[in-house]
Formats: sequence, C-alpha cells, structure tokens
Amino acid sequence: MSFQKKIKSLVLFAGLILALAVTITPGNASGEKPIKLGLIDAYTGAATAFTKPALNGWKMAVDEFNAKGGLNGRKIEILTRDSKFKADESTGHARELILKEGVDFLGGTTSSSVALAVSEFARKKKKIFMVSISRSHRITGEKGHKYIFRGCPSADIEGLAGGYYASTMPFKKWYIIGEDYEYGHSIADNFWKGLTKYKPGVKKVGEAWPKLRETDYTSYLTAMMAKKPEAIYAAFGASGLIPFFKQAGLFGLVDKVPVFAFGLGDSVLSKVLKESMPLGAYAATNYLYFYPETPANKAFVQKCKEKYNDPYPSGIGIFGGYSCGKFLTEAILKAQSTKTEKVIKALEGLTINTPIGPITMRACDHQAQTPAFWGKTTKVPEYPLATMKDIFMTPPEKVVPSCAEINAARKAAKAR
Amino acid sequence: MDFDASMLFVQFISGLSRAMILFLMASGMTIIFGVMRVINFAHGAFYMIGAYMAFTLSSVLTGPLGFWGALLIAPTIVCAIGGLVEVVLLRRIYEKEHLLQILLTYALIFVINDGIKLSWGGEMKIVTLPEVLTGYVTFSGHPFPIYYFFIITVGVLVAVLLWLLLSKTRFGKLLRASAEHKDMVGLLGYNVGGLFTLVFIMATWLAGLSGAVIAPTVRLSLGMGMDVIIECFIVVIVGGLGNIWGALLAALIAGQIYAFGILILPNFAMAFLFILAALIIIFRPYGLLGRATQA
Amino acid sequence: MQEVKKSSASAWLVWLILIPIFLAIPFVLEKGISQYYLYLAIKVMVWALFAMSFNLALGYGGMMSFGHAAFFGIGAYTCSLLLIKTSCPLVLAFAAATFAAAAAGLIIGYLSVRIKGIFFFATITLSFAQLAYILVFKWRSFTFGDDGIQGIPVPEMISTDETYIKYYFFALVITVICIYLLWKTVRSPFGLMLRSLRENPERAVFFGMKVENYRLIAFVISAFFSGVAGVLYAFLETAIAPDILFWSMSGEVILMSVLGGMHVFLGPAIGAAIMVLLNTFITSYTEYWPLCLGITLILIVLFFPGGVAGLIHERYTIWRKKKAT
Repeated sequence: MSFQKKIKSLVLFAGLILALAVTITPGNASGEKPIKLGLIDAYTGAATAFTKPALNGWKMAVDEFNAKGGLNGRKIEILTRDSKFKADESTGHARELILKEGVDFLGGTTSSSVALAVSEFARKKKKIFMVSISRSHRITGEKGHKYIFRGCPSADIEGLAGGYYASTMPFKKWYIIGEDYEYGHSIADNFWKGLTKYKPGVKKVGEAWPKLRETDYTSYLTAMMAKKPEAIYAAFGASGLIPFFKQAGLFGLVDKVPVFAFGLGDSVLSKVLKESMPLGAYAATNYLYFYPETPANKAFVQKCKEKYNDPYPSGIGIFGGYSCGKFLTEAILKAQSTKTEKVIKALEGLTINTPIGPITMRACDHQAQTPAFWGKTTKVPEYPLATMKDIFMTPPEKVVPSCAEINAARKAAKAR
Repeated sequence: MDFDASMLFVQFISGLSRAMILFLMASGMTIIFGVMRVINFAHGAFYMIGAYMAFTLSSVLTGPLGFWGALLIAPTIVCAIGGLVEVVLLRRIYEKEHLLQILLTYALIFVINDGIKLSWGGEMKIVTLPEVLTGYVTFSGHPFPIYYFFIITVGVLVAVLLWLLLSKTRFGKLLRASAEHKDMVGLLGYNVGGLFTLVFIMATWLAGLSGAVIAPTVRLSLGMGMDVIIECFIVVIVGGLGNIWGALLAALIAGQIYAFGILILPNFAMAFLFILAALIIIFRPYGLLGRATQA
Repeated sequence: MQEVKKSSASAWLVWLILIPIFLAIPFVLEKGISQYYLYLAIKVMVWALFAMSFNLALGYGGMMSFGHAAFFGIGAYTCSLLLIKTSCPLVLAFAAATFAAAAAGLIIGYLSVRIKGIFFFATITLSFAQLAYILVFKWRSFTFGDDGIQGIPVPEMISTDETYIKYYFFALVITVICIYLLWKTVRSPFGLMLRSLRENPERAVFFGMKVENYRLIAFVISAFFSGVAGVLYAFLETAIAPDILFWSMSGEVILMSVLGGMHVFLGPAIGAAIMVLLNTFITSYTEYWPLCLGITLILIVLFFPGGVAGLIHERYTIWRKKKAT
C-alpha cells in the first residue's frame, strides 16, 4: 500500500515538474530581426511523403535567399507547425504564428479545407499565405482574395489539362472514381469540364466516391468493371492513389482498361509503389525529374540529391515547395521590403525561373500558371523507378480559366 | 444496369472478402470482451503493428519465403507485445470502471502509434505479394484477384479453428465458462489471471494476422489502425458483445450490404454500416446474438 | 446552521477572488502577453462548456454517448449557415442553433435512451452522429461539404478581428450562465433522481415517471448545451469544417471528462483545460506529443482513477480531516 502511495507521489511530482517545464517558455533572444515564415502542414501521418519534401523545397529556396545575404542582411527563419490534417488545428496554429510569433508570411497546407480555413484567417489578419500543396480550385478561384497566393498548380489547371489530353484519345465511355473530399471532386469536375469541352459526345457510364482513406476498394472495382467503361479517370489524392492502384493491380485493371490519374506520374508514387506501380497507365504531374532534359533541370536534380538525398525529386513535394519559396523570396527582394502590401504588389505578375522554365504568378487570381505533364507510365533502364513516355506537355495558357471566369465565380460565390 | 449472374457472384465474393477481414479483427476484440469485459480500442493498433511487421519481415526474409514467413512470424511478434501489455497494464484495471478501461486502451493507441513512428518512420510503405498470389481468375469476363480468395480462405480457416478451440478443447470450455461465470472458474482452482493473459495473446495474434494479411493490399501509414477500429467496434457490438458467431454474422452482413450497396447507391457507401448498426440496435438492443447479461 | 453560514461566507469569498480574476484575464493576457493566449483561454472555456454538457449525460446520467460531436456540430453549423445565408439577427441564429441541437438530441435520444448496455448505447449514438456527419459532408450544395464554412459573419459587437476581449466577455457570460444552469440541474430533485438511477438502473418506474424519460430529458439538456458550445466555437474560429461532427471529436470529449474526473461537477472542465493546453504546448516542443499524452493518460488511469478533479477532491478531504483532528 505504501509502495503504491510512493509511486503515486512520484508520478504526481514528475507531472508537476513537467507541467512547469512546459509552461515556462524560453524567451526569444532578439538580435538582427529575422524575417519569419510560418509553415503549417501535415508533418505527421500519411501525408509526410509530400509535406516533408515540400518543406525541403521551401528550405532550398530560403537557403538560396539567405546565402545571398537575405534582404539587406535580414534572413528568413522558418517555423513549422503540424496541422494534423485538421482545419481547426491549423487555424489555431495560424493564430499562434501570427499573434504570438509575429510571423511575416504564412505558407504550407496539403488538405484543401485546411487551406481554405487558414486562408480566411490570413485575409482577416492581412498576411500573405502561400499555398504549396493544396489543389482545390476554390482556393484561388471563388474563395480567392488579395492575401492568398498559390505557387503550386490548382486542380482546375490540372483537371482541365487532363481533359484536354484525354480528348486527344478515342475513348467515349468514361467512368469516374474518386476520393470523396474536396480535391477529388475538384479535379474530377475540372477533368470532365475539360473533356466535354474539347470532345463533345463523351458519356459518363458511372461514377463512385469511396470515402477518404478507404482501405478496401474491391467492391468498387468489381462494380466499376461491370459497367464496362472504355476509360477510367481516378480522381484520388496522391496518397489515396497508392492503395487504389495496389488493389487495381490485383485485378489487372490497367491492362484491361485505360486508366487516367493526375498525380500518378509524380515520383513519390513510383517511390512508394515500387514494383506495384502500374505500367501503361496514363499519368501526370506538375514536374518530372527526367523531363525536360535541360541543364537547369539537371542542376536542380543534382542539388536535391546532394542536399536532401533525394535523387528523384517530386513535383507535388519538393518542386512545389521550391516554387513557392522562390516566388516569396524573389518578391521580397523585388519589393525590398517585407511589408505585406508591397510584397503583394511584387508578387502579382512575377515570373520566376524554375528548372522547367519560367512560371508566372497571375495578377488577377494569384495563381501560378504551371504546365502539366501527361504521359504513359513505363520502365526504362536508366532509372530504377518507373518513369513516363510519350510526354505531352500542356502549357497553362491552353487550358487555364480566364480572369473573367475567375471574377465571375468570385462574384457568384459572394452572392450566395 | 444489366445485372448478370457472374457479376453478382463477383460482387458477392468481394463482400465476402471484406467480411472476412472484418471478422479477423472483430473476433479478437469480441473474445477479449467476452472473457475480460474490456473493450480493447487498441485492437486497431495491434493490427497496425502486424502490418508493419509484415513489411519488415517480407523484406528481410528473401525470396518467396518472405511473405509466408511474415504471415507466420508477424502475428507472433504482435501477440508477444500483446501479452506484455496485458501483464504490465491491462490486468491492473479489470476491476475498474469500463470508462477507465476505454481510456487506457485509447491511450495505448497513442503510445503504439508513436512507437511505430519511432521505429519505422512516418513514410508510407507497401508490401509486395508473392508471385503465386498475384493475378486473377475470370468469371465470364469479370476478373477477381486470387489474393482475395486467399483472404477468404484465411478467414474461414480461422473461424473453423476458433470453433474447434471453443467447443472441443479444455481451454475453450474454460473460456466459455469464464465468460459466463468468471468467479466460478477462479473458485474451481483455475488461474484466472493466466487465462486472461492467454486470451489477450490469442486476440492480439488475430489482430496481428489481420494486419499481416491486409498489408499487401493497402498502404501502410500511421493511423491505419484508427481507420478500421470503428468499423470493427461496430461489428463487435452489432454481433452481440463477446459473441464470436455474432461477430461473424455481423461481418458477413456488413460485407454484403457494402458490396451490393455500392452497386445500387455508390454515393452513400459511407452510411451503410451506421444505418445497419442503428437499425439492429433499435430492434435488438443487445446485438444480433447477444444477451442482456453480457452487457 | 453554523456550517451553512460558514460555507456561504466562504462561497462569497471565492466569488470575490474569482470575479476580479476573470475580469482581469483578458487585459493581462491580450495586452500583457499575447492575443494568442486570450484566444487559448476562450478555447478552453468553449471546450470546458462542451465537456461539462457532455458530462451531464455521462457522469450524471450514466449514458456514454459516443455521438456528442453531432450536437456540437449541429449547433455550430446551424448558426453559421443562418448567418451566412440569411440576414437573421445574431440572437435568433444563436437560439435556432441551440434548439436545433436540442431537437437532434431529442430524436437521437428518443431512439437511444432505452438501450441499456453502455457499449450498445455508445454504438447507437455513434451511428446517428456519423449519419449527421455524413449528411453535412455530402450535402455540398447546402453545407459546402468538406470545404467547410469560412468567414462566418460574426457581428461587429463580438467580432474577434481586432481584439478578443469583446468576445471573451460574450463567451464568458454565456458559459457562466450555462454552467450555472447545469449546476442547478444536477442539484435539483431531477438531478438527484438521475444520479440514483445511474446507480440503480434496474428500477423501471420511478415515482410514476419512466426511467427512459429521465434519461431522455438529461440527454436533451446535454445536447442543448453542447449546441451552445458549438456556436461559441464557430464564432471563435470563424471557420468550421465537417470534422467537428466526426466521431473523433466525440472521443475527445469523453477523454476530457474521464481525464478531468466525471464524478466531480467541474472535473470535465479541468480535463478540457488540460487537453487543450497540453495539445497546444507539447505540440510546439515535440512531434511525439501523442506519446506524451498517451503516457499521461495511462498514468492517470493506473494511479488516479478519479481523474484530476477526483485527485484534488481526495487531497482536499484528507487535508480537511487532518485539520479537523
């Protein structure tokens, strides 16, 4: 009994010490005031396959900026917070970063609903928020505003490019299967919009929306194949593509029906899926480490390999983060200031040089105008991972919604 | 839509394979409750350890042996961890309120989850299937993967073994007796504590097995245990707490409703299980095969 | 007689100390340290109200609801949708939201309260709550689906755009009123009856009133106040997503109640404060915060099964006894 009591008091004591240690936060030592960049993303859980490389991308751009002396000696300091994929967790962090840490800029987010929630808070606090992974077209579309920017592609650019690509093929009867969440619907809607625009007369023979993080797609797969579609569009988030194609592989789906999926072309997928990577599928992403074979791209791949031990950099991850970091740092230099209004001015219409060529931040909707690379997955001897052949690059100006369309969507959203 | 017989058959098998995975999980959870009166919310976490162990073992053990070795060894490691957890933690709370037991097993999820993160890292992982089990058979044009037949076989095998164990062995009789009258078993001179440890080991072995079996069809990631635990919990409850055959029945129903529901209302698959659970509990307040005394 | 006077005098003393503290908190936190801490204080308050409302069902009614996120979420969503889609005044939206939550409580409760086993009760409430979640998630045209609602038009009077002080007082007044009403409820003959029913659930009829009716009333009250907490949450965050109806939210509020101590009136509030603050502070120190939380919870279960408030209560009584002898 007395032993029990001893343990009790020991635990109690340890708990008190811990509580004290946690609550007494160390004060910040302030020397040369750094520029603070707060990144909120799902740094734990399944999404780390994308968020960690994206963070490396941000770091790479920030390191380049700091190495050149920053903004008159002021360097950028990155603070990271884990969103745990939850909207309220993320807005809590956004508050902490802005109100307590006094960050100058916000960035990050993978989940689109998280992006929308943080975006709203950034608008209220008049801080720039640079989205580096979230894709929903609403973020810079109908729910866009002055303070939000996106340095990675949006689902309308990617979806419409997919529709455009698919319209060059003979398939008429389509089945759409997607994860039931914002991104899945966003990319699927845009794909269908693009396909029907460029190829009237296509027909949807069915669609299905399994829940997010579904573990068993067999019943969906059997039901889908019973509809005998000529082609399938898989509207999954990049991490959802993995179990879907794993199970689809067991059915030999890709050998029977042409399957289209954005994100499947990303190197993260071939890294994780390895031998289970479907070959002969129509895949795409926003950046390929093996195409175009330009010196700039080769140099970027080399740098990723040396600095982050990442010889096959991904588009969703490191390239997206790097583009965002590049947009932000170049805008700061161009504005010669960290003042929100000045940096916004500098960002609007800013063109940066990326490993795949120049990318412009469109002034009217603050959306980076990115190309999409489609192709057929294949295996070549030069690389251990699956790559793509017959690459079809869709330039953004070919498919992107016009500023007038964006403005109309924003007006319609306000009127609701 | 044109329904043909072989397509309905394929849909039925897909529901059956889902049911078997659910049953593998739920059987362990329900045995634990039947004997110890504890709902083990960490059951999903043990399933996750099973899957991760299968990943490591199938890459360490070479050749075709890898997968089969993993299938055998992974659940064994999991049940060793399970035994440890029972001895160190669970046996201290059998006499306490249900809520404290829930809190403890809930807390275990956090600990195991982070333990896996510490040992395996946060990246997604996948397990490759051996050559023999890849591929599919075709039923008049409708393909169905061989591996799911394997899952069904494992499920049926486990059900048969459980039946033999419960009805034909001394251990099984003791188990059933302690589910009915716990104190009597103790009074008859049996070591109840040892029995509990054995039961927990057996149940976590089943969880580890389901993790290892499912591993080649999914992506392994942190939190994969949480994705299945609610479904498993509902199957256990709907079947009647502590009743293995109830869990089997509930899993079979849930699997078929899912498979055929998708055919008719693909958009509302999320809701099937919950509607089923609510209806069954309204009409049978103690589950399909449950009795009032066990709640 | 003496005893009563003494306790009421000490109660006055407690209030005399508490009121200035609560009045000073916003100014000290927002002006003195950082606005963020005031936000945290309000967050604690909202969660405390939610946990205490929930505990009316769990701790007093013996009903382990695994679906209280639904009432919280229905409150938050009803109010937000009314404010966004109509020009409905704040008071009306607030009232409508809480009544919507209570109505949901009535429907779910009506179907659930006669279920006796705690796990069966947990499952049926879980199922209904998940159906509510699926409804909000799927009905994109009306609820905006998993996009969630951003920029809830909070009236200027309590807006948090510039300062959290106004909203602090608004939330404080409402929370205090709700907690007072909850206190009155558990102290009333109804509350006493409810507790004795929890101890002795076999009794089918209690003074001519069916046991189910007692449980149902408690469940509806609990849902009503959870709805209030949901509205306060929506105004604080100004952005909501269907996550707040998901089962993990219900799980969190169970954790808070058990952690704080479900047999002590203020226990769940203490649990809520601990969870919110632990989550906030440990997260910024280590990415292994769930491990810390898990170990803390295990230690509490093994050594302080009455929860934190139970522990304080126990120490306090020991101290009183010592002083008396």
